Amino acid sequence: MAKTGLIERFDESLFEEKIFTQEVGRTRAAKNRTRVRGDILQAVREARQSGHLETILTLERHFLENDKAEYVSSPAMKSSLDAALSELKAAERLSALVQQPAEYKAVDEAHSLPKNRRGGVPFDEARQFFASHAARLLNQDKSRLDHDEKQIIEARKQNMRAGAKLYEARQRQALGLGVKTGKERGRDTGMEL
Amino acid sequence: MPKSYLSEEERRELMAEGVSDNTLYAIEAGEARRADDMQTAWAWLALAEIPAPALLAAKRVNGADWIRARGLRTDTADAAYGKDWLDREI
Repeated sequence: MAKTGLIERFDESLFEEKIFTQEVGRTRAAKNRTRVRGDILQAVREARQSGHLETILTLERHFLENDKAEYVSSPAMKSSLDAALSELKAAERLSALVQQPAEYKAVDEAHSLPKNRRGGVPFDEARQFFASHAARLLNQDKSRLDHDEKQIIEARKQNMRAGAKLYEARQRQALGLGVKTGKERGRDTGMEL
Repeated sequence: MPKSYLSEEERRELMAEGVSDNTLYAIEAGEARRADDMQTAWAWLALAEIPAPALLAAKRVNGADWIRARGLRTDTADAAYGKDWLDREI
């Protein structure tokens, strides 16, 4: 026999909780938070439109450090963020290195097998970061996020795709391959999106 | 107004903070519930604007008559799901 008194109080409590959530959303602070999230979204999109790889990576690093500082009490979240930050650091390092063709040659040679190349260039740690981080953002539990928070995560994911393209262009330049041909453009870029 | 379980001072504080009517109703309902006076708790909630999804979920688990018996306001759900939402399968 179900405990009707308990269920009754439970159902009533749920209504209270939903009302409080609704009322919190109507406060001035909540309205202004929505507004500033719009500004943040705009900044993320501007970084992509700038076509500047370092700016894209810097914004993402700042997002990740903020998340990491906030979720100190969740070991699973922390380890995921630590992994993302380490991979991002490798991507930042390679983004500078790839602009020095003589230096990047060693990376190219270390990725000689077809399975370690995508579109004819090394699927190196920078490329791996863009792909795995985009997947991480895609898989993030968004069920409890607001619409404006989801939009920011979607924009960050798009920045990873843009970052991968910008980086690949640098790879091609370093290896003297020139701009991608139409045929190559249709190929797998290593992004599972 | 239903019976209040708030002290005079608590009431004054809430008024001074300028909380919304809905917030006050939900606070009053909670106080009544903790005092084991569910009839009063529901009487306070009947004054409040309850978000439409919460009403829809309650209808699905407890039925339309359950909502009617408590005299809850359904204006949010009426607007979101159509006036006849309580009598219609949705």
